[in-house]
Amino acid sequence: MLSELAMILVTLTVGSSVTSIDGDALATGDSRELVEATADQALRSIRAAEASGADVSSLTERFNAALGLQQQATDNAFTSCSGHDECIIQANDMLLSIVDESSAIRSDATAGKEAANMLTFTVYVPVSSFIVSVAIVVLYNSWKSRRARKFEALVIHEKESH
Amino acid sequence: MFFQDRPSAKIKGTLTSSLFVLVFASTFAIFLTLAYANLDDAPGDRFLTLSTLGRNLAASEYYPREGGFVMENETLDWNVQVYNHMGGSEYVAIRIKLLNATQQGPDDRMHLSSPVDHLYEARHLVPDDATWTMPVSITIKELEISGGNATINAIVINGEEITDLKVSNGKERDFRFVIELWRHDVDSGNFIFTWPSGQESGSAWNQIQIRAR
Repeated sequence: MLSELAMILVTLTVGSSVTSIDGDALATGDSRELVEATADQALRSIRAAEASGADVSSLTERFNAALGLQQQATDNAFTSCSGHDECIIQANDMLLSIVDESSAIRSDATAGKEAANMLTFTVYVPVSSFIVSVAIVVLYNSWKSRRARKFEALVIHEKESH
Repeated sequence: MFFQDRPSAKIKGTLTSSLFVLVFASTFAIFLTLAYANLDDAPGDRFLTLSTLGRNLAASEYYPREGGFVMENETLDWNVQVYNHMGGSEYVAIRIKLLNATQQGPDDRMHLSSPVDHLYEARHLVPDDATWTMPVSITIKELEISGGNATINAIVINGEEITDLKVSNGKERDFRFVIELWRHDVDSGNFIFTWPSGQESGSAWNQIQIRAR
């Protein structure tokens, strides 16, 4: 219940604040702040997906790639994009795609985790308890009957010696 | 008697015995507890580690020459490693600061960073139980030595030139590069120097001394 509430909260926050960068933002120099805000949301969504048990390795790689693009824009040293604006736009788009994708993989992972938990509590726990219990009772009964037979043999032996 | 000895009757007898019911109830309770305990897969100890290695990725070869001496236009090649054991991905920042012998470094006991501004910062998202290695290349671009005093005016860190530093020292000509590990706090949206570790806090930083010549 708590995890569902957290997911709704993250979705609401993500939906309300992330945005794509337009020409005005690039011109006024607010682009870095916008990318950082998008990075913050991408980070939150990666963490939410991770908490639900999803594999976030590809999202992590893309997040770091977006950081690299942002760094290129800051340093004015371009290797994988051709200029400041292009680097910023690419970084922001990459982070936005992380936000979208992480919400999808989070849903899948949550469903998978719930199914696995259901299977554990309704199948694995009862079945393994049953098998172990049968084994214990059978072993106990066999030990008890062997002891009884041993005792009977002792009694017969005693009668014969008399 | 014959009916009682049949295997199906024996099995039925075993499964309906009070002993079996008791054993099954106990085993079920134990397995259920174990399954529940397994749901909470948070690691016991949460920590981040920071280590600075030389050019050969070992704790050696930190300097271009013997005795920790560095001359103008000489380069220091290091590798900074961050290991994450926080139970989830951590967005971290490595901050590099240049201090003279008297400037205040980080405080281990209070988990406070050095008050000196950082010259260089690199950020990275480190997955849980993973290590991030960042090569660091520092060149002393402008070193002024006059009257026994040494002043570093400009350095280049990983291709980024930082000028107007004016970090001076006395006769010893010793300087320190302080490498601090900061982590992003999701609640505040800022990078912070510490992390929660049970009832306490943790922080990590390294310091490498150089002798300007």
